[in-house]
Amino acid sequence: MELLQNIIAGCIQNNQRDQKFLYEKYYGYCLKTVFRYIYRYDKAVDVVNDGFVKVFRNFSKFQYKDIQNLEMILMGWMRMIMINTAIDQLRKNNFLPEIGDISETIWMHEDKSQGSDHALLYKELIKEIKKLPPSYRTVFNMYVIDGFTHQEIANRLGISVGTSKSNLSKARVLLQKIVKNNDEEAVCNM
Amino acid sequence: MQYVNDDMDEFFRKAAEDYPLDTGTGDWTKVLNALQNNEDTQDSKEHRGKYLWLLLLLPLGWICNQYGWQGNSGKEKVAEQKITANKNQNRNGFTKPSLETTQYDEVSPQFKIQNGSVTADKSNSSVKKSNPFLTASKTNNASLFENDKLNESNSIVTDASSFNEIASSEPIENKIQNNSRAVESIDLLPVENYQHGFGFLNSKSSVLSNEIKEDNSSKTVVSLKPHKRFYIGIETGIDATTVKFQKVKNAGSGYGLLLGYELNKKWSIETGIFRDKKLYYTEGQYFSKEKLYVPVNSDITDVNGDCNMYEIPIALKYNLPSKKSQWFVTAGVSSYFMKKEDYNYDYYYYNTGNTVTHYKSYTGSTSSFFSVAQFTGGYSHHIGKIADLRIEPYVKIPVKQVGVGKLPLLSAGLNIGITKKLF
Repeated sequence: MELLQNIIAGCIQNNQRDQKFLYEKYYGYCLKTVFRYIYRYDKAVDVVNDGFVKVFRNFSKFQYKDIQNLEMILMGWMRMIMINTAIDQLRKNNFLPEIGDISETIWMHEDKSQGSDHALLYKELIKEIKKLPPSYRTVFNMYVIDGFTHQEIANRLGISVGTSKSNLSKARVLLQKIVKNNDEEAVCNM
Repeated sequence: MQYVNDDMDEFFRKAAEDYPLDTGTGDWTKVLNALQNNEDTQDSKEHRGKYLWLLLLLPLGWICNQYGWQGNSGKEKVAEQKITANKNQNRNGFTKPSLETTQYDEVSPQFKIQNGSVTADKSNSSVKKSNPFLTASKTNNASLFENDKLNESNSIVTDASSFNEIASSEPIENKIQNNSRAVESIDLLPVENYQHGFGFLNSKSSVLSNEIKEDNSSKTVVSLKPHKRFYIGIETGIDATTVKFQKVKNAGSGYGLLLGYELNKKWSIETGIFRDKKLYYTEGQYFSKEKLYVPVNSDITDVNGDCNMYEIPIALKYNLPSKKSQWFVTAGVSSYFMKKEDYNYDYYYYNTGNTVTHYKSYTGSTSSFFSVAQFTGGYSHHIGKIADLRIEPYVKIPVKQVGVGKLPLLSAGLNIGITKKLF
């Protein structure tokens, strides 16, 4: 924890070594957050890098009181910046859907450990989330996974609360079908 | 259903944390370069900020405008009179007419010249307003006579009682000497509202009326009040918009700030900024699909638009010649800056025969300069001395296509506003 405090202090002072350490430590976490919003992997990488620029430029605004949970607070703060940057990117494109398949090379290699079944399933679920129309995908990510309220979503996306709820409902309907089909396949395979 | 949702949500949250994405180590060099570039941009922005103090010079321009117009054609000429220049000028610079008796060539029909003096013709008591008269400066010797009062244009109006005071047997020269104010303001010749005629004029002199004669050698322009040219106003109104004369479903609205500058009494230039809400309908065939996703097995049949935009007009205003009323017409162009466009699209799916409505919102999407030509005709009415009430029906004819759907918007409506002259 003391190390993290020193790193944060160094980042506030624009110490490049500390900034690089922070970047490499939390890059994967931020990319996994952004990749849920941005369809293409290379675009998601660009958004993450833009997000880190914002993080380092605004580090003086980062405040914490609870030293015990400093890392959680820091990760939450960076996550918020990454999500805002991703939404800005989507709004630039007017939430237009992107075409094309997701390359399989971006996923981690499968292993034979016990957790690999879950990882495989999680991968499929994330792929299905990414196939949703951008407006549904964004609302689903913001509400279900990142914990925004409908009012916060409406304010951030410039839509009404009703539209936010409607988009979430439609996203759930589509995803439920997928989950149901997966369950049926699992039963058949047993 | 709630529990199903909660379970599913939990499932997806776990998936979001643990899904197997190959993240790599990133590209720190890119981030570092971006940070360094940002620092340079920040420095240049700070440099630019150094020149913001120049904006403080703008009030100086206003001050020069305000005081630079003193004594030139920018101010209203209330009266212009030629007087005879002679050497009898008092210390205030007022020219004292000579005391010799002269004939006043242009006399109102109700007066007649007899024996070298002008007397009233009581058979015709109507006051001729064609008589020239002088008005004194408001600040110097504002009133020649005690009963004088100022009318709206700050010209002196003298009523008959003042003449009666002078119409005594005492020679006029003595009266003038005794009344220093009268001497200094001898150039004042009140004419309007006089009812009894110049009965006080005796045979010895006719100073007040007869000392004024046309003389092309000198000219004095007296102006009293500055003419305000800049005006500001607020307007609001209702709007009906159609696309290619299709049905109008609902009325929109608008409000904004108006700025104007009077070139002269007839012509003015106006601009401003308005926030408009336009509601319109169109068939899908007229709506541009460039920024839309339309599946191959479907088509857009109807579109209902609800758009908020900023409008910046620039127009020329012409005040129709009229004695009492203030009718005017304007013509100009407007630019639209779309703030938010909300559309409900009706998609017809050919495979199922169903029509499904989809909603899409665009923010800050398009700007269209000089996209409509606007024409208005209105009426302006004074509200006391404070402001003017303005009622202005308008029509806006599309010159360009606007918005995401590239639609020609034809609008008509009514604006009501209040304007006030500033300086």
